[in-house]
Amino acid sequence: MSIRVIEALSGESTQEATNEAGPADSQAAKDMEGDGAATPTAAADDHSSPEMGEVTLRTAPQDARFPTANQARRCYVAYNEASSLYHKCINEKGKGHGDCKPHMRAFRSICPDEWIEKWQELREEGRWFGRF
Amino acid sequence: ATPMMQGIIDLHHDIVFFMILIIVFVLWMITRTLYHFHYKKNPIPEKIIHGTAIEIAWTVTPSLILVLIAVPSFALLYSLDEVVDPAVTIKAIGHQWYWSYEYSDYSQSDDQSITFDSYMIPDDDLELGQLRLLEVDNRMVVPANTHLRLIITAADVLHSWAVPSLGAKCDAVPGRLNQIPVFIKREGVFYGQCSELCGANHAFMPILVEA
Repeated sequence: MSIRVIEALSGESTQEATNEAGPADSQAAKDMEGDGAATPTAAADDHSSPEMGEVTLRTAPQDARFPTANQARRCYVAYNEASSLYHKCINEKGKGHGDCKPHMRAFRSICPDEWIEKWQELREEGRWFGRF
Repeated sequence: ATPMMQGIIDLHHDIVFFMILIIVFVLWMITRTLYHFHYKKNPIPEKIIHGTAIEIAWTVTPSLILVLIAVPSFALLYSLDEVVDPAVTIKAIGHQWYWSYEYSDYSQSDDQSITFDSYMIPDDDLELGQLRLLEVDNRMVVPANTHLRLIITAADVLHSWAVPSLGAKCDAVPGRLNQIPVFIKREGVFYGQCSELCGANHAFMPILVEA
């Protein structure tokens, strides 16, 4: 569910390129795109200052695979799925391609930063125990 | 301030209504019994053993009352399970002895996430009009009339994120991400306190939600 909020922004406006539609697990990635991006709407709102923009509030929707209150499994699964998609994308498009970034954001709404940092550290040390 | 709390209050009113009826009836029966069958007034006790009709009556009536209580109770219970896709996800992480809040929906890149710590304002630093042991330096600010998803967890020991006005209480367990839906129906400031013993300053890590 998304709602529109009029907010003054500092002028940063990034329009992420849309990704190819992947399996259902990239749905979260698609939902994360454009978060925080100021998109001037077609419904001509009165923007006297050039920095005003409408912001759509979006977050990862309910995942029917994890209906319970404990979303720890969902965080882990989303991270693994996003990593595999990200690396697949890197292999196809090469490192540093902007298209691949949204994949690594798909799980950020659900997973605490601390967990993500810990897992990134494990990856760097080569001790990562996940699927990819 | 949330539909959940409203539901809880309404259920409470329903149950208290029946409770008052029962309490008045029982007390009245006891008073009458003690008065009329006092040993001075009524020295020979009666021995009544059977009474089929009255036994049926006093079995069926409480069952009926229980059913009448169960109906709104189950209605509330199942309505709490309703699933609505939220618009904002906020993580509340309990530490010893403060809360930290993460707003990660707005990450532009891998490393950015709006995160801040929320410490209690000590008594010496309070300004006039502020509430003791309840004020914090950085409030959790959320939009009103928006479906929120709150993910509660802890970084060290057990805590519990509780805000009574919102009808919210959820244990913060390390290694678990407990998800609760919140929908605040009005702007305002809502206070709460940590509700699971977590050490020396367990009483000094309040929660402040501003909608």
